Amino acid sequence: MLSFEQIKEYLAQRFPLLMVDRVLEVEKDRRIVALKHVSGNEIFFLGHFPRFSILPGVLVIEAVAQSAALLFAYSRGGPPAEGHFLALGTVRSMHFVRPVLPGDSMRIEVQVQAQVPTGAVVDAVVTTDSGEVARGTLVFGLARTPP
Amino acid sequence: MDDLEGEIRQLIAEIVEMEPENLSPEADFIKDLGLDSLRALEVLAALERRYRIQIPQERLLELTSLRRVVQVTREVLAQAQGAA
Repeated sequence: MLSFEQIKEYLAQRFPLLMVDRVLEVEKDRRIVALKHVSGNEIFFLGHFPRFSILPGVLVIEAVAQSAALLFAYSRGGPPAEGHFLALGTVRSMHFVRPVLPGDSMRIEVQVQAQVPTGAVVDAVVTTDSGEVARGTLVFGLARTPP
Repeated sequence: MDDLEGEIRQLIAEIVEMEPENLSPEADFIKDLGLDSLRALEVLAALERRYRIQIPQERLLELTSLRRVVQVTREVLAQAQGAA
């Protein structure tokens, strides 16, 4: 298990876009199960939407991407070398089954399908207490941080 | 064209977003089809998933065309069956 403080050692994202609160399970180079608690107090609910709050689907993808980046970094003993980061290259598929609402906890399970030293293909399933909310396949590659 | 080549042609065509019949066996993924490293990785993942094999990393550079992919997949499948 990784705590929020440990997660920050592996990920560069910070408020309001750090989308992983805790890691429940991690197996190097194979899979990770992460948790993101969604509060009605999140800043993006100000605009999405003013009259009814739904977590934007792109942020579900972001939570998956960060979980995958965590797994990639954890498996290599630390974040990518200075000047590099694991970039989301392709969303091969992502199906949204039901919305994520304030009060939900997203359980993000990411499984490696294939990987090389410079990238990975992963399958992801996101669930809440209501059931599956999204599933898909994403492709990542190591990229240089913009100058 | 045998079943394996037909299946792999279909699988690669989906990833490179081409009609399968337009995918020439000899077309070089990078020079002719403009495949980038992430798409190449997707081809690898699709092969490994479809045939439940593990293609050794040292063979990745050989996956340069449909013909070469079929050949490498056939060899890895034969090795896996021989080891079983």
